[in-house]
Amino acid sequence: MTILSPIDLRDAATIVAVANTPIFLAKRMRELPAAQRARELFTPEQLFGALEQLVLRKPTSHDQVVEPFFYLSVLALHNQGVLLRKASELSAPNLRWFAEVAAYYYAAARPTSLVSVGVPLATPPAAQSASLSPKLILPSSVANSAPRILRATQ
Amino acid sequence: MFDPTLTADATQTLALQTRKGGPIINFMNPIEPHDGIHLEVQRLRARYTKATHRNVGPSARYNCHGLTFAARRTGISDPAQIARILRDDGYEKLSFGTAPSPGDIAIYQEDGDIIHSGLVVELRGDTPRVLGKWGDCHEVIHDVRDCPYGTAAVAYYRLSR
Repeated sequence: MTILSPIDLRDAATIVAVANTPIFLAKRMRELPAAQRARELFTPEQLFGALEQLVLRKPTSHDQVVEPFFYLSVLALHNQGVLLRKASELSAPNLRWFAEVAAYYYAAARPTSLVSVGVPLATPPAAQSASLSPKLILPSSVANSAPRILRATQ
Repeated sequence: MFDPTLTADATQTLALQTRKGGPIINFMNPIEPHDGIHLEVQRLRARYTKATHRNVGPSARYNCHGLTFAARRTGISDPAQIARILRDDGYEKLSFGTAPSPGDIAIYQEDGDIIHSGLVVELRGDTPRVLGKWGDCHEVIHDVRDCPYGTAAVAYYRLSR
């Protein structure tokens, strides 16, 4: 039995059965309360690991069709872009619309954190001196044509 | 184009075009639905008691758009294909407030996706009744919003010639 055995998949089964388009399936599946509960129970790594196996299986029941899509929707709720990209690259020859649903989830994934990285400005060697007064360094072509007021202050 | 060399359980594509000759991407899955689908049909019959549940299906050979636009021969799942059919074939959208009549098309749209379509078969008072295919399940005649897609925006289209 799969790792999701404690989860009631009846509503998920109906969604898969009545879906006319992959986007409908993707959106409705992700909105299920069961998917929200499963998100609390299973890590993204567990879900992706199960998906890797399930996409290779040829379904022999409707439940076996439903499971991978449910796993995928729970993975989408974790919003892990890297694993969603990997899921979208899985080959699922026996699951109609798996690629489309995975691509939809991956496209919808948003970054969960932003990191600011400070990049110090490099100081030219010529400007490194004991003087505390800042100097305006101009290229010679510009300095020679600079107005007189600049030459007077240099 | 249908490929007779493929195995019997292989998904096929039929040669389907709009009136202007534009190809329509489609899929026809001939595999018999798994037993669980029959259970889903029973659940839908029990839930939507005001609908008329036809003894047609379940079937993965066609979906709602395949019923509406391809005479049940195949399935169409891309909203861009539906939009192309409506445009190329010359469907005209009924203005808001204009009541549909039998033979018109009902289009269910949600966030850019055309999630369902069907044929208007009658009006019960002010409420259109729509014949539609519910995914891989069966065909149902239902009040326009009495269906799994009832929260979507519904517009009606008519082909005048």
